[in-house]
Parts: sequence; structure tokens; C-alpha cells
Amino acid sequence: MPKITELRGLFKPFTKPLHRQWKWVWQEKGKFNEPKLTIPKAFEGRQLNIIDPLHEPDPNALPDESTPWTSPTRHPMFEYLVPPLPREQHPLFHHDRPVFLFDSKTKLHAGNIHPTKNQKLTFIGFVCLFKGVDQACLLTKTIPFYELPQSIKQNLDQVTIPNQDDLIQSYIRQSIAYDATKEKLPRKYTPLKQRRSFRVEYSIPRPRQMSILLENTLSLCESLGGRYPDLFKRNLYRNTPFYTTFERYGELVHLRKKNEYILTSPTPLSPIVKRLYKLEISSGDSVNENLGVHDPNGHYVMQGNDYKFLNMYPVYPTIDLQSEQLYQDGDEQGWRMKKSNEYVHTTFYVSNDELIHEATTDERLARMVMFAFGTALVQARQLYPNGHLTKPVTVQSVFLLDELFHFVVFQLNTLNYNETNDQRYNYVWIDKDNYLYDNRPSMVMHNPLYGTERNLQRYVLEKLKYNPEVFQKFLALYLQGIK
Amino acid sequence: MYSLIRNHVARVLQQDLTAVISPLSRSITANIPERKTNDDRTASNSQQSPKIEKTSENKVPWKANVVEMPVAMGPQYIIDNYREHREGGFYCDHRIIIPEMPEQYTVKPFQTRKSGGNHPDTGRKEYRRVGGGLKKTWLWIDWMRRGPTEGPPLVERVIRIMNSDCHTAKVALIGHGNTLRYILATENLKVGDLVKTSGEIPKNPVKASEGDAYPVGALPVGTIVNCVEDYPGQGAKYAVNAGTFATLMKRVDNRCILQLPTKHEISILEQCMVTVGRLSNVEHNEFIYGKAGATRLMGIRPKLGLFHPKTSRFGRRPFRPKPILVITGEKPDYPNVIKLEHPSLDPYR
Repeated sequence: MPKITELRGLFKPFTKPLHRQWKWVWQEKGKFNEPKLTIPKAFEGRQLNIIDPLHEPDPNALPDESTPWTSPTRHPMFEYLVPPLPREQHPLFHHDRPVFLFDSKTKLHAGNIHPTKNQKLTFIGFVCLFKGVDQACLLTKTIPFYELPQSIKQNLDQVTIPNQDDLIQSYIRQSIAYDATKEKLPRKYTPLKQRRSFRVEYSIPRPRQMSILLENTLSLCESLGGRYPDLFKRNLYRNTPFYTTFERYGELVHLRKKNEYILTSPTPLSPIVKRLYKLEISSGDSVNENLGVHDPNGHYVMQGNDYKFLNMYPVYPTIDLQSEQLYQDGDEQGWRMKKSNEYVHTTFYVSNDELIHEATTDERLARMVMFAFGTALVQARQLYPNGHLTKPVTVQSVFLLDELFHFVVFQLNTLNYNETNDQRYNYVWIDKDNYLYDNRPSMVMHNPLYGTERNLQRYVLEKLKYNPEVFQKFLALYLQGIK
Repeated sequence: MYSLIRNHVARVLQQDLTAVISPLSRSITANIPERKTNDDRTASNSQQSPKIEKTSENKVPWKANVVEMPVAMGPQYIIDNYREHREGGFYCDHRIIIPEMPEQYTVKPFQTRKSGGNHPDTGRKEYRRVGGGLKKTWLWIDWMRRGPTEGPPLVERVIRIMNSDCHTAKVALIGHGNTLRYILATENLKVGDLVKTSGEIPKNPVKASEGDAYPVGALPVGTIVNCVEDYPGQGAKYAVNAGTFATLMKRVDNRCILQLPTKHEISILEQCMVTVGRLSNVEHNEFIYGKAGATRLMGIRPKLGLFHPKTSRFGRRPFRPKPILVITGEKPDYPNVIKLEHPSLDPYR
């Protein structure tokens, strides 16, 4: 018979509240230690395929000869019962070679380094100069210049349309306020404060705003068709697909995009830098060109030699690109180049759902550079299927978001991206941060009383600072390629 | 009363029997060839050296001198902790459940669900003072820092340092080659620093710099260290919170003795990986919330006990120093525990 001193404390699981007792019981009895497999002594030395029904079958075991039963017919009425094909059985799934995908949503992280409040911008050698544009230039072997080329700058103010400033201000007002659509806008949120909630707003959605602005400015530019009848041969396409693959030092990069707006012309753009390093490139119309003519863009070659490519030592520039095995081979630009007489003139990037602060300028410019390179590459491959460029290919692109404009001019000089010794690089001219107007009247912080989108019509007329230079650049880019 | 005593006696007998019989059963099963290495369940793959690809192609300029190693964290981590991984989600913390765990390591932040202090199986309250608060995004941190055992070390660059909702220390995004991963940032880590890991144990101790990871046997006595593993290749376990560090006290044969932040000493094998330095966010314990609402937003519910009687359980309790905890051999191969489900009252299930 045990003594009372030995029993003290042992009756807890019988005296405590019921749910606590159950908890302890489940803790003890709710676990079941799986017994280890015991093979009888008679089978010890042999090599057997052990099948344990509690676990998954051994992959090295004997193959399963029983085949699953498949129904003899597949009626469309019962297709919903059939599970969809797994990703690996899709016909476009490449099992041998994955590819680095650059989409319209990838961000080159080099532009994502935001120093926090406590960190000062100390220059530790070359580290803080990480830029998304430089990463894109590494991938595409380009040299960037942060200005518009000289030949375009000279043509800036030469062609004007009467009343162009007033017309564009009216287009701005139309896009912001004076439009009859009223739709529910997506809910605003701030990442700074999680529980802050904004009111639901009904007004013009952003894609419509952008398309109003862009299409009206393009029709304004087209109104010069009386003076330059070549403008009527141009075409504007919407939502064309686009994909290419190119090889960079043995790694495939795949570009994929749906071009929102793309402007084509019957003749290709003439190259900006005509005489490259120690090589004279014969342009098509060599009769008119004299060797003695001063090339205003010639000094870019010398400037380009000073540019050093980015050295991101332990990190590859393809780090931000996702490796994909589901892609389509070949090039696609939305139309067959050989049959039609269309060459890409400009691509317009109109971002629908992005707010200005969602991506930095570096990321957007990097994206523009990559896709301009892609379009130029496709064009060059169609024109020169041998792989040897005689005349460089130029492509322009324009980025538009609310009031922000970026202009990019890309010139393709090589089709060789695998050798290190090749000294020919592509050139890119970037003009960034052009604000068409300022004091857009929808910032809640600045206008707490009328901060919502509802009351824009009341005061969109006041305090709108207009910048006429931006449209001049737009026009100059539009009129490239016309004599 | 008699029935109670009989149950207790029966239980004692059962315990004695199992204590006697279990070693016998283990000795029987020890003769079986290790078929468990074929399964992915056990953690025996860690001892194998990972494949190291050193790209020495002269053609690719950005691949020169870069040591590539794949991320060590993978489905093994889930499978090791599979007791906490169930259909409802991955129960990684007493406050957080992650609904879907992918098959591979990702850098993408995860949306979590709060447990509210309730156990996911029984649905009953397990932990007090837990509930409410802001939403937390969980970052999958790589606890394993593996380095090449021969040749040049693995060099990585710090890309970003950020705060994490689920960890007190700061989290650094690190990249090398085409891989990105998160680790816990040490005190003086800055954006753009280079961080090394190597698995080599040379004869002379290595001059360690902050942020680098070495095996314990390679460091000199007296270094300050964090993210300590207990078994080599199992992931960091000790000194993992903000501002903590462990110190190397002694080296004995092929084992090292460290002092943990709780002043408890531990002896681990030489090959366990360890990072040098003190973890970031040193002022974490000096942070003053300012108001009760701040603690509520962190998910801490109020505490009772203002007017409860105080017994000898409260107050200053000086304890004797504990003996050194010696971690021997391989990680114990826990048997496969099958958890039974609580019977639910739902008649349609």
C-alpha cells in the first residue's frame, strides 16, 4: 500500500478541470509512435523490395503494371470533370533548356536599393551606383546617354502647330475631369499605415485617362499630314503581342510583352550615329551623303568609350529574371514583316494600374531599354537573316503616366552577344523626368478638403503649370524619318 | 479510490516494462539496413557535401570568380518540421499559420493567418495573451549557411536590409549568382557589403569579420557569434533573436564549448556552422511602446494578475549554474509520430 507522501501530486490528472484533463490525455494518447519495420530473421540477408503501406512507394521498386482506367469517350459536357493538364505536359514546355523571362512586370532590383532612414548614402566604392538601367545595359550590351541626340535637339522648335499649347491643355483637362465616365476606381491603400482606409471613389479610370491623352496628342501630330503626306502611310496598332529570345553569354533571355500602342511607318528609321568606330556604315541613300558632312552625333562614339559596364561581382544580372520553361520559340511582332511593308517607329508604354510611386524611374527606364532592344532585334533579324548588320536599326519609345514622360531612342549595332572581344555596342539615348503639367489636383495630402477624385472639375483649371517643351520633344520624335 | 490507485500502479508497471523492453527492440531493429536514407523523411542528407559549381568560364565576364551553391533550405525543412505542417497550413510559430508552403525556397513574402493562441488541431486555447493585431507577412529565412569545404569561400552581396514582422532581428536580402535568400542581419551590416561562408576548418584559426559564417572549429577562442547550430547541417537554433550573441569559451578535441545568451554552456561539434558578430536591432529591449494600444497592435492581449496573491513562485530566483549541455552524436531519429484527429461534432464529416 503506497504512502500518502508517495501519492501526493499524482492525482492531478484526475482532479483538475475536465478540459485540462482531456488536453493532457490527448497529448499523451494522441500521439502514436509508428512502429519500426521489423523484418524477420529469415529475410535478413536478402535484397527485397519492401513495400510499406504507410509511406509512399519506393521509386526504385518494381514498376507498377496496373494501368489506370480511362474513359473511352470525352464528351464536352463532362470536360469539367477532367483535370487540366499539368504544367509539364503543356506543348510549349521545354524540358531541356530553361529561359530567363523578362516580362512587363519584372523589376531589375538594382534600382530597388532604397536606403532606410538610418542609413546614409555612403559611397562604398562602386556599390551605390547600382542602377537598373546599367543592369539592362549589361544584358543588352548598350551604352546609355542621358540626353536626347543632337540631331533631334536641333529639330525641336522648327515645326509647330497653331494653338498647340491650348489644345493640349484642353486634352489634359478632358482626361482628368471633363469626361462622362464614372466607374468605381480600385481601392487606395498606403503601405505606411496598414489600417488606413480610403473612401470608395467613382470617376474616370486611369487607362481611359491615358488613352484619351495619348490618342488626342497623336491625332494632333497627325494633323500635319497636309505638309508631310508620308504621315498618312503610318499605322497605329493596339495590343499587339511581342516575344523574342536572345542569347547573352550562353544564357537565353526571353522578352514578352503586349504592346499597348505601337506606331509603324513604311520606311525604317535612319540611324543616328552613322559612323561607328573605325567602320563606315553605308546607309541606303549614300548619294546625298558626303563624307565631308559634319555628323552632329559623331562625338557619341568617343563618349561611349568612357563608359564602364556595371560590375555586380557575386550577383549575375539575370538574378531578377525568373527562369521559365514555358515559352514559345521564335520572334513575334504581331504582323509578318516580309509580306507587309511595316517597320516599327515608336512604342508607347501606357501604364494602366500603376501609381507613380509604385516603381522608380530606373526600373521603368530599364524596362523600356530592354523592350526597345527586343523590337530592334526582331526587326534586324527580319531584315538581315544572315546575322551580319550592314545598317544599324533604330527604334523609339515613349513612356506615359499621368504627367510623366520618358523618351528613349535605341540604336542597334550588333547581333553578337556571346563574345567578349567584340567592341561594337548599341547606343541608347534616354530623356527622363519630363513633367507635362504640375500640381495635379488629386493628392490627398495637399488638398485635404477637396482631395478626392470627385471635385476635380471645380479646380482643375486653376494652378495647372503647363510645360510646353514636352510636346515639342514628342513632335520631334514623331516626325523622325520624314524628309 | 482503489480504482485510482490501481490505474496508477498499472501505469507505473507499464512504464517499467517499456523501459526494459524498448532497448531490446531497438537492438533488434539496428540490424536492418538503413532503408530510411532513401526516404525524404529523415535528415540524413545533410551530411553529404552539396554540389559546388565553380564556373571558370573565361567567356562570361560576370561569372568569373563566383562560387555557386544552391540554397540549402528546401522541402527538407518542411519535412523535418512536418509535425507542424498539416492540411490547414504550416504552424511555424504559436502566433502564425502559413496556409500554403511551396515546394521550393522563395523570397516572396507570405500572407499569414493568426492562431489567436488556439491550437490548430484541437481548437482550444493553448497560449494566453495572444490575439489580434496587425497583419503580419512572413519571410522565409534561410537558417542554414553552407559553405564549400574546399577552395575559395562563397561570397554574397547584401542587397537590402529590412524589418520583419515575425522576427525581432532585422532581415537582410542576400544574393549570389542567380539565387536570392534572406538571412538575419548582424549589427554592422550595410547595403552592399560582401559576406562570406566557408566550410573549411584550417589548422590556424581564421580572422573572422562580421557577418561571415564559418564552422565553429575555425574560429579563435573568444569570438562573438550568433545563429548557432546544434547538429551540423540542421539549421540555426541558438542566439537567433535581436541583439543576442554566444561566445566561444573552449575547444576540446573536436568539440567546442559556447556560452549561450542564457549563460548556459553548450558543447557542439566542430563542423557546426555559425555566423560571426552580434545580431542587429540591439535596442529591441529598450523599446518603449508608449501606450497599451501599441502592444495590442503587436498581437499581445492584456495580462491578468494585478490583484492576485503573490507566492514564493514570484520574485528573484537565483538558480545554480546548469551543467554543460553536451550534444552528442547524430540528431536523434525521432519516430514517425502519427497525430490522431480530435473527433469533431460535425455530423457531415
